[in-house]
Amino acid sequence: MASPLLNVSWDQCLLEPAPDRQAEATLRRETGAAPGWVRYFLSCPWLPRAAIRLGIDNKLLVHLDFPTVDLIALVVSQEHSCRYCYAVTRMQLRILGMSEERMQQLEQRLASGDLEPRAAAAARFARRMSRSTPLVTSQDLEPMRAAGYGDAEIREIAFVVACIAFFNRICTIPALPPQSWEQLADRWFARLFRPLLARSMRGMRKRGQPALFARPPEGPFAGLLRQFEGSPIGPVLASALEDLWASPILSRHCKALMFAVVGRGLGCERSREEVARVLEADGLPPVDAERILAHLGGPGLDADETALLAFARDTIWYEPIQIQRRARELRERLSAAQFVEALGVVALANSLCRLCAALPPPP
Amino acid sequence: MNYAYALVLLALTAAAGLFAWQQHRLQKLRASVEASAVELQRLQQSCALLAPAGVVERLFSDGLESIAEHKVFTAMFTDLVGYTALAERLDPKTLAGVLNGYFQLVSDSVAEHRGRVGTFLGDGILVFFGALEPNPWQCDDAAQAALAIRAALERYNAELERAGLPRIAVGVGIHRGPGLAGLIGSRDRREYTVVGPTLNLAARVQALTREHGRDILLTESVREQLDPRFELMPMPAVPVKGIAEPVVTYAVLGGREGRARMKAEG
Repeated sequence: MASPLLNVSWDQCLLEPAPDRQAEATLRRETGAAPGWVRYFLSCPWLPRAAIRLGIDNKLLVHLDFPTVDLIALVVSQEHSCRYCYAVTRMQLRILGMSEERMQQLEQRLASGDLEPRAAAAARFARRMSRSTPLVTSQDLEPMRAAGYGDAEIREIAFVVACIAFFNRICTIPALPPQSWEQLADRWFARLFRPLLARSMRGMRKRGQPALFARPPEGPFAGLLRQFEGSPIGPVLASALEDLWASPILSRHCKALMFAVVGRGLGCERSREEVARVLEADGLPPVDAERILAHLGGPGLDADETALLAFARDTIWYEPIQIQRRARELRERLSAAQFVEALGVVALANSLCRLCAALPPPP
Repeated sequence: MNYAYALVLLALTAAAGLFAWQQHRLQKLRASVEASAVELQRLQQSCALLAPAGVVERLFSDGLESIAEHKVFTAMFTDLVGYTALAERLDPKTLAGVLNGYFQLVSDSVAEHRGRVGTFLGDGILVFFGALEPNPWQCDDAAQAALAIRAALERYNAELERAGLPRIAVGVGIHRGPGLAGLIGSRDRREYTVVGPTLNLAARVQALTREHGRDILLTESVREQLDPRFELMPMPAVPVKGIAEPVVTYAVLGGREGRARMKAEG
């Protein structure tokens, strides 16, 4: 038996993989990798760059152990019904040596909550944060502290949840095909070369080293970024955000409004305040911004922008097949680059707004 | 020497037997794990028919007592107009078919606009917006859902007429206010619902649809939060049972798209 998410309805993929040697070479030069899946997103250069840098195996975690990361990845992907990410995590665990029986036992223990106390606390928090009904608060961190996690580990746990939530959205919304990942671990070549694959996979899972910002973070979410001072996570998040705002594909104020819609939908005051500054700096008076956000439309917005705000709202909580249907409608009215950028914006917005709520600013 | 061969053979046979036995046990264990997983999934799917999907998920992960919160939500109450007359005219099987079609169209319209069907009360349906998940756009959603019900009912009535069956009409009442949302009931039987005066007023407003001759009515507390692009018509304030002041309601004439289109067309 394979993934328990196999029965989740999944649409045909909304994106065509578009190989582009030059773009892939640039990406490889900038990030050190250009895996096959980036071809779906190459029309919006910052998104594949951010996605590779946000890979949680990729030297980002200094304190947290990888078994906890895998557990969180399973929990969050299950919460978001992301067949793609769930299949990838499951495949990694199988290749790394977990038998199908042990995998199924782990899934059953996850479903019943029958885990050892530290893992149970992390899994419960991951579930709460990805669900966000209502948003997590600092009180939700207490069970993890009681289970023995330190502040630095808790920050990394919250980041891993946000990161998986990001990947879940960029994979689920365009319905990236999960089938090959779902079957990979049971293929003859994967069985035959499992020790080699496991060795190479372990080699790719690198722990991070403390890192500093190239320059002090500014702009929206700077406060959140400063909470990752000294961690390699901070600079990676900062560059993803800088690239997002600088990208010319969708207008800056449209992206800021999409962020604000996600923040408002989740009830995250801090995110709303962060984005309000961008909107004001972009020349949208607070009264007009409030009018637009209160009803997801209004003066000064064209039909595409109105559709993008409705789409941003749909990405907060969703069933895969429903969001894929709505994304298809949006895809029909936008160019590939606009659609991919919208995908990146909502994915990052959902992650950062949840992260903002999970990590309240220090007093 | 022969003894040694015999011993080796015996040991090999025993090892093979042990291996086969272990494989058999492993297969049985695998089958039992698979059966449990299938059973769990079936159970979750069955539960999803009895309560909103989000409630079932929370019930499985957080337990029964976790689902009870004070919320400001929007309640929508829909009721079939003239059900008694309809029940007298149709045989039970046809009546059940007509009713199921009506329940389905309301459920679909509501789900499309992020509402949750709380309970089926006879021929009435209680729907919540913003009770399970936070929803700052709950009033717009409720009004949009009511308009979607109106449109779906038009199509359904055309189907009924083609089948030689009578047309049906629906009254919809919408009100926003506080309430206790959760799994409420006895030790033996509970259901996800919202308790409080908000619900009663939504039902009373639904009843006013007949008095005012309008199919969708909403209260002042909804109008305050509603997108001004919805086309509304104020109705005269009327006293309702259990409320001290006469209740002001608004009939929903059209959606925001209609208003925007009219404006664009001058």
